[in-house]
Amino acid sequence: MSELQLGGPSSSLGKMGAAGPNPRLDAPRTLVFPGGRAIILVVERDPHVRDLEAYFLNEAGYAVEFAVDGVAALEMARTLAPQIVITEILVPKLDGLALCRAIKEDPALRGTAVLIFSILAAESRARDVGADAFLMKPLAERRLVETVRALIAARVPASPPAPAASPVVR
Amino acid sequence: MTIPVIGGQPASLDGGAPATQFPRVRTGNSQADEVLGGGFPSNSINIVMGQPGTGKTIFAEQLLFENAGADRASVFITTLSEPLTKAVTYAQRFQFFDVRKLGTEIQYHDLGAALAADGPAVIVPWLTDIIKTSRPKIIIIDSFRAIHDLGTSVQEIRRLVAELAGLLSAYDVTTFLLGEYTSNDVQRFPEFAIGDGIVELARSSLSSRDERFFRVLKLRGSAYREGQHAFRITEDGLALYPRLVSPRIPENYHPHLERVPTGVDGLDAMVGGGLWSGSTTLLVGPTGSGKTTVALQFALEGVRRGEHSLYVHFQENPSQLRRAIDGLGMSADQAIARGLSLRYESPVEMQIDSIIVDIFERIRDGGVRRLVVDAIGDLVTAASDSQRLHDYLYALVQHFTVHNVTSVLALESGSGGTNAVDVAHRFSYMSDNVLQLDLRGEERTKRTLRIVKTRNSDHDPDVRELAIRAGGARIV
Repeated sequence: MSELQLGGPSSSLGKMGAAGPNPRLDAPRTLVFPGGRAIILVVERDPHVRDLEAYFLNEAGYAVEFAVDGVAALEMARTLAPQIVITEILVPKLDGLALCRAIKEDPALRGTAVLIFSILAAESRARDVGADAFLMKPLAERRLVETVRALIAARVPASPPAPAASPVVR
Repeated sequence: MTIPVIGGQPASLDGGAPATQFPRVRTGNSQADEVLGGGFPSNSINIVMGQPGTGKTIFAEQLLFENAGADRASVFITTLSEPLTKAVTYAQRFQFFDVRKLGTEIQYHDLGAALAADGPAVIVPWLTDIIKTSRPKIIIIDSFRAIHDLGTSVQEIRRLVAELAGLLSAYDVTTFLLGEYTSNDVQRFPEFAIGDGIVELARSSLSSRDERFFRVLKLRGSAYREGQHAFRITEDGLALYPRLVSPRIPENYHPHLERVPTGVDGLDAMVGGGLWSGSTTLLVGPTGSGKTTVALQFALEGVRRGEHSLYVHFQENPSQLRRAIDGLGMSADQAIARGLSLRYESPVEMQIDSIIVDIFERIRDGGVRRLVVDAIGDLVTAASDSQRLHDYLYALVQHFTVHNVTSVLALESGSGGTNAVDVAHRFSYMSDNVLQLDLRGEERTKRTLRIVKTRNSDHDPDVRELAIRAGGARIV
C-alpha cells in the first residue's frame, strides 16, 4: 500500500495539468495530513475548473482530491471523510444533488459539508437535498475560498481545540 | 434551512434577485451601456470587430479603465497587430487614462514575441498562468484576428478557440477579443461561434467627413438595442448616440387638450384657437417667406409665458439669430435669461444623431415646452441614409407628443425642384399641422400663409397675407 502525502508546499496538486488525466483519482487511499490540513473532495469534470480549483484551494491551504463522477466521489468520501465535498450537479453516474443526498443520509459522513458549485441556478434544489452551501459558476476564487473557510469554521468546535499536526491515517 | 448562496451572479433562496439576471460589465460610456442593455454580461466572451481605425482599441481601453479597481486587475494583451508601446502611448491622449492604475489595477502584456516564437499553442497556458497570478476580472486581447495568421491549420485554430472558451468560461472573467474582422469572417472563424457578444465598429466616408457606427450583432441574454448607433471619437473616448426609437405610448396617456398660442397675431384664429399642446407643426416655405420669423415668435411667445423654449438652428449663425430675436420685441439676452435655449450646429459638420439625441435628452429630462427645428431640410441634406433620418424624425416627434412638447419644424421648399406641397407631403405623416408660407406677386414680395392641414381642428382654408414689420410677423 502506498502512502500519499497531501498538501505540502511542494504538492503537485496545484500544478495539475488542465486537460490531462489525474493519475491519483484511482490512487490507494492511505493518507497523511501534516499540519491537519483540511481535505476537500472536488467532483468536477471540467479540466479548467479542476485546475483552477486545485490551484486556489491549495494556495489557501487546503488539500484537494478529485473525483470525476458521483459514484466514485461517494466511495472516496467514505474513505477520505473530507471536511467538504464540492460538487457540480452535472456529473456522471450519480449527479451532484443525488450525491449530496447520499452524503447527508450517511451517518459516517456527518462531519462532511457539501458545497454545490454548479453552472445551474439550482440553489433551491441544493437546499432541498441538504447542501450546506451553494455557489454558482464561474469560479471566483475569493468567493470560493471564503465559502470553504466559512463551512470549515462552522464545523470546527470552538473548544477544546482540535488536535493539530498529528497525522491522520485511514 | 438557510444556506449561503454566493456566486458569480445574484442569487437568493429567499426571493431576492432571480439567478438569471447577470451582472453587467460597464463600458465607461453610458450611451453604449444603454445600447447593450446595461453593459456586457459578466463572464462573457465578446468580440469587438471592425476595420483598422474604427475605434476598437479606444473602446476597449475605455472599458479597461472603467473597470479598474483595487480588488482585481484588468489585463490588456497585445499580440501581433499593434505593439504594446503604441497601445499605451495613444491611450494617454484620452481623459479616461490614469497612469496611477498601471501595473497594479491595469496590466498591459505583450504576447507578440511568445506567439511569434511558439505559435498559437502558447495562448491557453499563458492565459491560465495570468489567471492564477493576476486573478483578472477583464481580459482584452488585441488583436485576436492576427492569431489566425500564425495557425498552421484550421483544426489548430479550432482547438485553440475551444480550449480558450473552456478556460475563460471556467473562471470569473469577462473577455474581449478585438480584431480587424470583416462580415465574411463571422461565418468562417470559430471564435464567432463561442462568442457571447459581437459588437461591430464601422466607418464610412460621407463627403468630406467620416461617419462611424456602433452595432451589436449578438449579445446573449440581453435586451440590446438593434441597429446602427452613430459615434464620434472624442477626448473622453467614444461619444455614442443611441438610435432613437419611438416611445411606448403609456396606457394612461391622454392627449393634452390645451391650446398653445403661436405668438403671431391672427394665426391662432386660423388654426382654431392656437396649436394643440404636444402637437407638431410643419412650417413649409421658400427662402425669405418668413419661416424663421414665425418660428422665433412661437418660441418667444413661450418665453413670455414662462415656458422653456428650445430653438435648434443650422442656417443663421448665433450672432445672426440673436439679431433676429432683438428685432422681435425682446432682446436675445433677455429671452435667454427668461428661458430660451439656442442650440446651433454648423450644417457643414453636422452629425445628425448627436443633434437628435441631444434634443431627445433635453425633452426627456423635462422642462422644454416649446421646440423649434430650423430647418429639418438641413438634416435631410446631411443625412447619409434618408430612410434612417425619417425614422429618426418620426420617433422624435412621437417623443414630443408623449412629453407634451409643442414643436414647430421649419422646412425649406423650392430647392432641388421641390415645391411646398411636395415637401409637405413627404413630411406630413409626422406632423399634426402643415402651414405653407409663400412669396407671391410679380416681384415675389408679398408673403402669404395657408393652412394645408390641421389634425383634430377646424382651420381657415384661405390664403392669407403674412406681413412682416418691425416687431414681427402678423396675419393681415
